[in-house]
Amino acid sequence: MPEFRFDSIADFFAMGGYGFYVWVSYGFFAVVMGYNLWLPYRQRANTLRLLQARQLRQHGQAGIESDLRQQQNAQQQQGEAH
Amino acid sequence: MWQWFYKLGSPRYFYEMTTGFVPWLARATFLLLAIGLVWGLGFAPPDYQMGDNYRIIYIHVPTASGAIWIYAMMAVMAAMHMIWNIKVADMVAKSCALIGASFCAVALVTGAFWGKPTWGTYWIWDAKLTATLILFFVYVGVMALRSAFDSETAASKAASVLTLVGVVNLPIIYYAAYWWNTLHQRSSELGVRDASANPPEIWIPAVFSGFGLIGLIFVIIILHTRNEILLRERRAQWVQELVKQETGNA
Repeated sequence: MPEFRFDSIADFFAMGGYGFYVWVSYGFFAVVMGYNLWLPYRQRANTLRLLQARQLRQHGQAGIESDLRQQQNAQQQQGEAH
Repeated sequence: MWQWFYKLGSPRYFYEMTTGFVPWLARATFLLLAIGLVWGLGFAPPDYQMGDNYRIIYIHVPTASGAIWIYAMMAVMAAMHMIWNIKVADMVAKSCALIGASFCAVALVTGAFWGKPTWGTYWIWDAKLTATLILFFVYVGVMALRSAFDSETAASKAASVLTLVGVVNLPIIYYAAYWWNTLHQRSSELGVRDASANPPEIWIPAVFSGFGLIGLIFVIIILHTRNEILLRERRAQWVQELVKQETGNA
């Protein structure tokens, strides 16, 4: 079983004097990878919202068109009746 | 096997296959990365020459080789898209660009912060470093070229061609330390072939972080590709139903 190589947490952060280089490297890595993981989740939410809006618009238009058609049909029928 | 591979070319099959698969891959990835990095940072013995500074190796080496392999995958996908006109291949190629550029950037930055205390400089125009910087610019170029077209077909074609041209850079990076004796050291092969190079206490955590990062590459590429599938297949019945389900509007 590998043992912890540092005497204390402060010692761990100091990295034998190389703390600055090691932690900047790991920090940059964490930030870039975190961004790469977060991005597709945000894109998915955006894509779904976009496609939902598209669907609602199409359904809305189709709905208005069928309403108009019904109205026209009703008017035509009224006109024929007169 | 080939039939399965062939089926993955169908956007719907790719999407449905990955729905159940990604969460498990993500869990395995997280576990491998956590083990590899904690082990590498705290439990691996210090290097006899570089002290604790060498611990950067656990992210530098996998991101640098990852940057090359992601590009190779992007090129294979670009070729498949050009030759057989497989839509999913183009979507995967598109998803490779950002994560590849990110791996390249991490390799360059971690290399700089490793180089400063060991070589005395953050940057030098060494063959391997310069070729890696060019790889970064090629990734950025592929992304920029793709976004410069309004037509999706034209964008895919242009990006595929540029991707294939950029392949010449890969062997240059890989063999740079052998062809030119500038500064970047040759790979120490992690002591797998030459047991005296590195003891297992040093290279075992690198195996964990390496496989963890391979997992991360695939998780991110699959998630991007799934978004791309929803967007490009938006007119398909199954996507429309999925959107209704996911957004809860009937």
